[in-house]
Amino acid sequence: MKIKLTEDEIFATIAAGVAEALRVDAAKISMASRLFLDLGAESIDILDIRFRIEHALGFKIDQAALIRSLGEGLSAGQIQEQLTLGSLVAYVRQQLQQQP
Amino acid sequence: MMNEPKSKNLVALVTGGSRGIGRAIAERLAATCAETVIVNYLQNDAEAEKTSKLIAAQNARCVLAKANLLYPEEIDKLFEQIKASVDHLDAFVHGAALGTFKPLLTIKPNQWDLTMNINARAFLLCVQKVAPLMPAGKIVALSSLGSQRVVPNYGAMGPTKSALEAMIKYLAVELAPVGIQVNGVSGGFIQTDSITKFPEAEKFIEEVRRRTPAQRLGAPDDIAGVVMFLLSPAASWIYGQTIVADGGLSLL
Repeated sequence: MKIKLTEDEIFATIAAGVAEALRVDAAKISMASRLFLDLGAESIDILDIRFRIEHALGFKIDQAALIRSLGEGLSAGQIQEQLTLGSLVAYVRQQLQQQP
Repeated sequence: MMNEPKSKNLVALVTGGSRGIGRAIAERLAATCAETVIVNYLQNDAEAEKTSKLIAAQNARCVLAKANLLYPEEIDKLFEQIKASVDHLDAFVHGAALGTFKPLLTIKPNQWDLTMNINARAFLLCVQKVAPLMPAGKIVALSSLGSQRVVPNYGAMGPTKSALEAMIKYLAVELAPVGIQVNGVSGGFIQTDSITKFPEAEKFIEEVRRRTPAQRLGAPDDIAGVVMFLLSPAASWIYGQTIVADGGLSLL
């Protein structure tokens, strides 16, 4: 079943998951927040956040596709630089639009 | 295989069955004694499909069941799917596990919850669903040496495996009267994708190889063989034990 959410609603869902997982103040999370570099996430936290988003929105995230959505052939450092709340929101929004 | 069950009519569930040790167990079940193998997996559809083909090549039926065992609701759905596919289970092998490699003192609350809930709680919740489907049968959970011994950077995983091994004993006692045997296998260091995620993996692997009397890392099939033994009639007097199969590493 297709889920219809605005960008703000997707952001709120993801930010809530990020805040809970990383124990950061949700008010301090913005679209520009970098998960690794600004919010202190580690690799396993990304998995945790992914699970929280999947559980909240009811669809599975392809982590490899998510990383590819940031750019092809990125190094670990470039991924850390580019994985923001905004990039997550954009990926989730695109996936929700593609759902049947 | 003298110690493996002979008749090919069992229905088995393997969690974490799409890759590595879980896949080796699923394939061995299909090759020797299972007519149906239900393979639960978390995320990798392509690897799950490969496992499905390996099972089909052994003339057994494979049911792929994608579910995140972190969530009780997904475990409920998994078993709804299982009950729609089979009317009972004879064997349940719990291989699903997840973790991060870092010292225990640096583990954050969400990381603790994630590893404990997938590695330990999921086993309990699955057994609670498996038991009513298993008039008599065998359950085997996969543990690791970090449950009993201190392994550097294994602080998030070791305690979860200790909890798992304690549950194996309790469940063995609770389920023995209804004809269900519960045991575990502790596999030392096995050559899978997971071991490459250890910090300084190459150095760590070389150190393990040097310290292991068998002078190599274990292979997934080494563990599959022990699991098959525990599922066989030859193990009918073994209850609540976690068998260590580690090439002798823990002896030193």
